[in-house]
Amino acid sequence: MSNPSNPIDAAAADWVVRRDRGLSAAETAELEAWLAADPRQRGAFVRAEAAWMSLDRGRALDPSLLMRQPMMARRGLLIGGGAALAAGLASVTLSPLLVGGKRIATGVGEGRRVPLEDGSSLDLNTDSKVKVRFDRTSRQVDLSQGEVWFEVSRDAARPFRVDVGLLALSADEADFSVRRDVDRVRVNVERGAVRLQRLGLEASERLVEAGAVAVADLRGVAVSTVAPAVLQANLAWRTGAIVLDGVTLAEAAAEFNRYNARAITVGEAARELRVVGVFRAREPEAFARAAAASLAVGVQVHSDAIYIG
Amino acid sequence: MGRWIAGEILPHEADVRAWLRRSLRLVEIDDVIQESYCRIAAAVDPQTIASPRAYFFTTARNVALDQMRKNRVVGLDDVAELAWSNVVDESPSPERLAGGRLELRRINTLIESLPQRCRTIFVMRKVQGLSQRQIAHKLGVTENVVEKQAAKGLRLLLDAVAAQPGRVKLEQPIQSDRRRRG
Repeated sequence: MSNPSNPIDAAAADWVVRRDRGLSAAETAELEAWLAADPRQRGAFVRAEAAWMSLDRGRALDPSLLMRQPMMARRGLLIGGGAALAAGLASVTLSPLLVGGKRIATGVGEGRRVPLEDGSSLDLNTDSKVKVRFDRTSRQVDLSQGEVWFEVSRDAARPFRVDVGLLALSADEADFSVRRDVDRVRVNVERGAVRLQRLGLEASERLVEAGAVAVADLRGVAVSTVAPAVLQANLAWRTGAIVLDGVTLAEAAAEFNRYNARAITVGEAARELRVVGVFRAREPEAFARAAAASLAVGVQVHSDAIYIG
Repeated sequence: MGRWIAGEILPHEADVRAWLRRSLRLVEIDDVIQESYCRIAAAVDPQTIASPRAYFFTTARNVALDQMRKNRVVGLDDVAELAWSNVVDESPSPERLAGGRLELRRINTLIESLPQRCRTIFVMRKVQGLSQRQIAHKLGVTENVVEKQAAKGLRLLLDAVAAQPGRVKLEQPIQSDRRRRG
């Protein structure tokens, strides 16, 4: 009889929120068609829009009312509470509840910085997935896909731990990145130190200190100190760049394809040619043209794909 | 127009629904309400409406009668007469007459009763005036998550708008929210 599951009202709510964030031309046309299709749909939209606007009226009454947390006491949701909010200065972090087993993901080409309630932060690179779980005794991040830069703040009561498949990393206070590929995990430590071990194998613990890179694969873990330039190259993605230092064209293409749906394919004859340079990760065409020109091979650029070779 | 509907029509919806339930058991109430909003939005110059509440009732009655005609409901004249007389009797409750202030309080109560994540997003959007994109950035989630949560919150609000004042219960969706997250 009334409402909870009325599909038209639900669709109308979706449209109102979508319009609030801005519609593409295609979506605008879709919305107009939807409104024109049925007077009930147009009416439901008017109604949902009115309800959405009525929230603006709530603010006029008493902003602090909105800040009460009737369900249970929760710390950390809004630093400074109502007063800071009223001043428009509120700084918002994820509450422990919000974080509780929270999944965060980026799509291909996306990047995202995620501040955490303890002062730590994550930077997710393209096409990455993590699950963050903080509670009173632990800080835990599961990296199931992609690459993440961690800035870990010290919290003696709660060790910071990152699980990457069968690999467990932990740190007290450190800046480091972790990249998970199909067949290996690479850890770059810029500041502090990271302990690394195979899950369940205490004896396997290795310490990776600032300036070192650890590569773990099926054979084991290799830790090596590298030149600062190498470390910076591995972290260049944080500024949107890809640094290629003599890798094969096939490897370079794979690297660009992490960031772009418009995939680069390399012909058999060109796969082992080597490329050098610094490129913008999200501009595969510029890379393809530059590489093809320097290697004297052909390039075909299409709207959805690029071929070199 | 939207603001006028938000301020003058929406607050009466629960009463219109209650009246439809009592008077006209043969209509799909959601359909009638939706179509009523459509007609009101299309036809009304707000300046000319002395009593938005009465206008809402009359529009809903007309929509309901059209629907019954379409569905060939028997004994139409009797039903219509009954319906009309009820509209005339339907005077605003003292609460409504007390003005918009109670309505605002109700809105705040509704917002307070929303699940935490929806509420956080509503506060950031409506009180702080952040865009959905900025909210996503601050919360460290995708814009899609913000959009989904905002839409979910709005749906819960719409459910609450349809419900009688004082009968709003939103605990259920919170439970399901937890389950999904776990």
